Amino acid sequence: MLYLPFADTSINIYVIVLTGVCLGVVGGFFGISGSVILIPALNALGLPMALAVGTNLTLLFGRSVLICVKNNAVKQFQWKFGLIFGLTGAGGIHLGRTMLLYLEGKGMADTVIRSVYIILLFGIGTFILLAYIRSKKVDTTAVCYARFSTFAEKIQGVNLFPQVRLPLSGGKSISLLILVAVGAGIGVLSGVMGMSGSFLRLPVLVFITGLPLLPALCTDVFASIISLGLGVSSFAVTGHIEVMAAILLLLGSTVGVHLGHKSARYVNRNRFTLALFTTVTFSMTGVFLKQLGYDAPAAVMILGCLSVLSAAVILKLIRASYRQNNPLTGLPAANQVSPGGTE
Amino acid sequence: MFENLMEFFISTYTNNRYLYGIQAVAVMSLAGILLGLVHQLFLQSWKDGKKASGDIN
Repeated sequence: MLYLPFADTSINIYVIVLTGVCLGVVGGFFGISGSVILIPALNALGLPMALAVGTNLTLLFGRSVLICVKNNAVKQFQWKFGLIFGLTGAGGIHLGRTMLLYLEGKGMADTVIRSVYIILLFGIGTFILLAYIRSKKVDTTAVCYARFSTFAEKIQGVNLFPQVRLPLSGGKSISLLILVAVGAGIGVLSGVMGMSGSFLRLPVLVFITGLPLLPALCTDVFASIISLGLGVSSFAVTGHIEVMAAILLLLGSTVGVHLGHKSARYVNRNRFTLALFTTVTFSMTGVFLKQLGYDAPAAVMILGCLSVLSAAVILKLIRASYRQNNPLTGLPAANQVSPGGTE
Repeated sequence: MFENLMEFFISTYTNNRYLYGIQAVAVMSLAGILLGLVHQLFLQSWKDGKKASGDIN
């Protein structure tokens, strides 16, 4: 058992590591960070919401450093945008943390954050279901791309001083105030909800600042390292992170992400969309149960569903790799782009 | 081992909270760098080796 001093509770080490592995598998397979599932899971395991948010930010920081080292992301950094989003994000996280601590001081943090998570998970679940239904009729990626491009052109048309030149967009420029506002907004969201904010930062970097995908990804990692690093230290000062739990989660999730990436190469991801929808729905129900005071059923519901989904993904991976390697049943892999494809 | 590490973190927090903040960032950075290097050195080379053997066959 691992005693967590700030939460004043003990959790089995294997449970933490396995949670990290399951989260990594699901995150690596679907290409998500998994914060929306991990924070309710940590809360269900006995950590207060503010502590779960801080611990998740610590995990995300470690993961950003890992991604940076693993992929040699330094070569592709766009320092200017990375610094803008990183520093404004750090300010936003600090503001978010202040709001969170204010709520905690009033004794409302757990209830408010859980309520927001219920709404958020409901929204994500609905989005996944609608995207799944629409994907059979229209190319949703193309529709989203067109909408984002139109919106980005409108944003670039705003003429506010000072302007920042966009180096890879043919001499276009954008108002610095817009970038600062977006960065700070993402930071506040990270500080209150514990999310990395990449799901917002990356579209902004690609569509609004016009960066190609690889430099945008690397710049996003760089911005995450700066903002989360400063954010984690500010959460740590008030005793709102559990470093040991974050390290164990990072260890587990590193293994899990590797398996998840491998699965994404061999297993058809669309077949698991409804399973992800079920996991999100169960997580939402788990948060609701936790709010009602049913701690054990909430933990079983969230962690159980996460474990079942990741076990199914790994089983599919084993089956697919066995089929591919067996010359008698050698069927082509479902999602494999090329045999030498990178993860 | 985990208990000793935990005691180390707690003692830092009780002595100096700001140092605990720096320590947390440093520890997570170190963990991230180590795991990233392990991935680059072992998993990546293992994968490349597997690819190369596939090419020969």
